[in-house]
Amino acid sequence: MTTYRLTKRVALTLCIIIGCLSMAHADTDKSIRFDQLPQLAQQTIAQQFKGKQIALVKQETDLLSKSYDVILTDGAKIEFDHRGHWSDIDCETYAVPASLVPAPIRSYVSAHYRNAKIVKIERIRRGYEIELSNNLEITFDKAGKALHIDH
Amino acid sequence: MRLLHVINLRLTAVTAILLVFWSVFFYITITREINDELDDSLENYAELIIRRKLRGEALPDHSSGSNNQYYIKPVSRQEALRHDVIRYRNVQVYVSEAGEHEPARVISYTFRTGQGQYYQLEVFTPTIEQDDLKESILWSMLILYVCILSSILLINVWGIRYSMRPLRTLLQWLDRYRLNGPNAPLRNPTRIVEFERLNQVVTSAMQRNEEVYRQQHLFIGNASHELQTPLAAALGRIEMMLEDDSLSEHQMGELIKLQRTLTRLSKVNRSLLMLTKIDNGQYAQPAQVDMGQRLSQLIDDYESAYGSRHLQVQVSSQEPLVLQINEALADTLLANLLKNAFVHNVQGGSIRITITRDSLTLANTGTPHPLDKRLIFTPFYHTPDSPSSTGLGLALVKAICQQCQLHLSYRFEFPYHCFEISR
Amino acid sequence: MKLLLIEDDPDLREVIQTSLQRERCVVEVARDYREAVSKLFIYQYDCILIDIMLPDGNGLDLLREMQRRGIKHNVIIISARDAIEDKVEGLELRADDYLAKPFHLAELKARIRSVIRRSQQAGECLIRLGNVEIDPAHFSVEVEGRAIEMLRKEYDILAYLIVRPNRLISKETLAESIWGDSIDQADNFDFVYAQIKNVRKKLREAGASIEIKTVYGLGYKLVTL
Repeated sequence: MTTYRLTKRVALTLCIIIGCLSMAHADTDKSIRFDQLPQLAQQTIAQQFKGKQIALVKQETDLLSKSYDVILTDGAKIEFDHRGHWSDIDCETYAVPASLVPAPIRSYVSAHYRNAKIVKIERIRRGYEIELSNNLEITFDKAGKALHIDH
Repeated sequence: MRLLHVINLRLTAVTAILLVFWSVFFYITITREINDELDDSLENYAELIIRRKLRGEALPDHSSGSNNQYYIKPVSRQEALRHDVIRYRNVQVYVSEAGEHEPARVISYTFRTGQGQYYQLEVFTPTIEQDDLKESILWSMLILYVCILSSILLINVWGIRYSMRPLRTLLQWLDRYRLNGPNAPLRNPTRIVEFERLNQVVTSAMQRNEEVYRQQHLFIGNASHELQTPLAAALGRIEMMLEDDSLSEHQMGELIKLQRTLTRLSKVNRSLLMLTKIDNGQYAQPAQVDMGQRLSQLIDDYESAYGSRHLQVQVSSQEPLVLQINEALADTLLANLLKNAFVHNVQGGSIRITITRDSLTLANTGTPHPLDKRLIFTPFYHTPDSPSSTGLGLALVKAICQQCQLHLSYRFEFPYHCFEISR
Repeated sequence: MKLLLIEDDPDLREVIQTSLQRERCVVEVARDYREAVSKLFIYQYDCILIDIMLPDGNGLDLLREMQRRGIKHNVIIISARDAIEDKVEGLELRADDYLAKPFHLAELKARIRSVIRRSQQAGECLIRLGNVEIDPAHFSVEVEGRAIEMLRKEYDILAYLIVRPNRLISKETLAESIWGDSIDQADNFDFVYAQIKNVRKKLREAGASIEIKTVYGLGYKLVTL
């Protein structure tokens, strides 16, 4: 076998091994500083959660994408995607800042559940899923139309 | 079937290597997933605890029934900043129920409350079940690997064998093929283009061979007839003339000389024809022939015929030499070699014959110089001391040896001229 | 004796025909396959001589035809082809003998006689000449009913000469017939003479009425006294 062909074969084998090994690297969460978040995420926090203090910021690496978790000292957690758009806001005990909730959803809730507050909102494939303070879960499509209600 | 082994080996080797890569890759991915699941559950639990703590709510029981355990303690700011905020570790934890150390996964978080107090949270979960799971996955993969490889091997063997059937049939037919014998026609129907082509090529080649063989056979028969018939007529006429008692001695002598000459001519013809037949493979039907036995029968005749020369004949035979050879060819071979040894000998000379399991050597005394081994086996080579020979004896011996794949050699070991035939 | 000779070569045909006629045989001839067929299946013959190579056919086919029609003749195949398979096939087709060209006429006559005698005596093949009787089946020789001891080669010589009475057999021919092709290179044929001397002695002592004469030192002739 010529040297060239031998080298090619060895290189190919190495690539495969490295590929396998890199896949073996488990995804662990990493803590980052606030200023290491994407700009948009920083802005959202600064504007919508003014005055709140940060307890913990972590970066999660999945197979293909990155996501960010911000935990505030009041226990709220906001998840951002790799571009800095929020993907999950969970305030648990108080209402999600209204400007972050799409208008149709807000109006729907205020129309049907006047006394309830939106404590959690999540972006899902179909649209949005919210959780109210009375433990109701409502699913909306992208336009803001209610689809489903869970107790 | 060696081809089967070669193909199988290559296919299986490549597949085996690919499967190795796949298995390794698969195992790594699975273990990674298991690890990630474990970590996810720890992370979720940790998050739960952190957020509760931050809200000032009650924390879950330390050993809440699930396998996860946690420890949370306040730390100073320096201590908090000393380590990474989030740390993953694999540790050995003493489990009181089991009474021994078991492996566990630990994530520790450092976080700050609204009041500015730093806390360190550690969440544990035993990994022994996951480890067991990984181990059983490994074993399953190994077994699966062996099973798959064996199945592939078997399928390959079957597949190749089945596909190669036409080739096997063709080879078997070729093995049974005899040039001058009745041959069953080749029946090897196949849809595979290459094998069909092979069938055709082989069949037509064999047919051509048969045709050539037939033509030669016919030619030799005709040649023999055309040569020998006039000779028979001439000799017959001479014989009739010899019946006339009124011939003088001189006339009878002349007629007998004439007879001798024509007989010699006839012999040359016969030898030539035999040579042609041998070269064209017209002598088939080999049989098991004990050369030593045949030779001893001939020696008796020759000894009395050449008795006037007072030759000493010695035969030493350790083991019989049994050859697969046409009987007529064997007789001709031995007769010519023996005649050569007798005729080209000297008065009071000797002949030594040695027979082993693989060779036969005739050594005779004769002229004191070695013969030219390049010339003696050529047709019509005459030595000066026997002008009446046909000159074809040794040529016939050589032709027969060639045809029967025997090795023929000559060497001069003073004072013997040694002719050896061997396997 | 009435014989049919099927041979296409005119020269050889003439020689054989003449030689046999000198023996007071009636010899019919056929030049080719067609003529052979026309004669063979109409007339009766004591013996038939067939050459395998005929211009318009194969002598063996004649044999096949005879077999097919169930006709039995004494047949001697003469052939120049020198092919073993001819001999084998011929004998399988019920030919009685096979002779390869060129052959001695004396040989041919001896074989004809032997074939006829075999068929006449239906198996018993004693050869008698004078007061000497030879039994080929047992290799025994009797003179006036008394058995005499003979060595193998001596017997062979006597048996050969006794079926070719009154013919000059050259020393070479005799040697060749008894000792095989091996002898053709021999310098002299004294060994033949030695055996002949023994045979003569034994015949004389037994009072045989046949004798082996030497002819000019060239060959031998068996004659009745």
